[in-house]
Amino acid sequence: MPQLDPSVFATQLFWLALTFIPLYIVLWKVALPRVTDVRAARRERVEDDLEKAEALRAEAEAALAEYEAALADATARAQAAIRGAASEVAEESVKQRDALAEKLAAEAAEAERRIAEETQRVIADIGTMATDLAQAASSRLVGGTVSQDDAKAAVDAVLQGDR
Amino acid sequence: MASPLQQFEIHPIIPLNLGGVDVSFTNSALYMVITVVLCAAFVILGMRRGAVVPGRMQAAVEISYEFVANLLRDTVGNEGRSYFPFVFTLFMFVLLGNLLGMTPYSFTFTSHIIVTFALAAVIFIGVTILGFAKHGMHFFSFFVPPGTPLPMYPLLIPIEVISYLSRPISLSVRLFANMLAGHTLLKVIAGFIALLGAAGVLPFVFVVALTGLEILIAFLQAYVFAILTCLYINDALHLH
Repeated sequence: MPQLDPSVFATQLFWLALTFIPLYIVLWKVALPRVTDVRAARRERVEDDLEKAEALRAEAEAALAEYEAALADATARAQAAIRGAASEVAEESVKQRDALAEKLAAEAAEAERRIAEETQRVIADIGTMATDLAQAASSRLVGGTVSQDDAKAAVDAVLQGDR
Repeated sequence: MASPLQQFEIHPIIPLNLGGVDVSFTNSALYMVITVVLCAAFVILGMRRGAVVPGRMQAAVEISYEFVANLLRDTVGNEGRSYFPFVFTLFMFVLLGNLLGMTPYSFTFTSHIIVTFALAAVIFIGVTILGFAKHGMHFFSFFVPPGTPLPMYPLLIPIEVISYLSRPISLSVRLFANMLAGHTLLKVIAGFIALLGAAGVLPFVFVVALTGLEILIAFLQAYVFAILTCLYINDALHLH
């Protein structure tokens, strides 16, 4: 078995040392620190990006809150305006209604006053007309003349009796 | 037909002599150099761009980095970070050595006991020095499992010492024997293909399947080598 031939031990050990030790030094001092650096840089970058994303999210949330506050404010103001306008309109309509009612009442009173006046006048006229009528009728029916005062007294007596 | 063990023979490519010792550049040395160059190139070229979003090569480098880093963290914890370059080098060296050995006509230096034993011995000596540097004479308490009743000491201490001293042997023989057996078996069965003629299809199919298994073993043995190193480091740092 060639493995057990001591004559090749020295050369194998020599070349093993001559290859393994430089490889160890190169990997230790040059190659592996580079891998470590790249991985650290990547981790840093990822963490940085996460932080940035977190900041952006906070900013977006603040903007949303601001927008909602503005919206709520605008809504409140619009509702206040609507309420103001509605109460104004209601007040106006009440005023108009009152004015109309007043006017109608005045007109009704005027009408009643005129009716009463007319009634008085008519009542006053009825006496004269009845007197004239009674005078004329009696002269036609009875002949002769009845004095106006007599006729009037008679009419008044009848009218009084009616009352 | 060539012996199945012929693939393990070492031939000098450039004869070298250093103070009377033969240190010729051999086929074994060539594959060690190829392994080292490939490994360094893999990590350095893979990380050349150092992109935040890695490409294929960079992802492969980072996966191997993460694999070894997790291995070390799971077995040793955070104190093991300073041993990461060594464990990573060891893992990549053994893994690439094993995998390169799977290419036809190549040489597998991990199938030589002297190579695996040298690696295991370095680990064993290093871990023992680490243990003494960290705990001083208290390190000897490692050979007494906690909660052992006093009468058991004469029995348990020798067992613990022997099991500790046999670590470099088991570590090196495990890798060496796996590589040796796998490559020999592949060669023996491949020999049947020519011998059996038309029926050689059967051993051919078997060799294909076995090659897949050997690639798995190449990875598995590198993993086992690295994880045992981590466990030994953990023992030296934390005793039990």
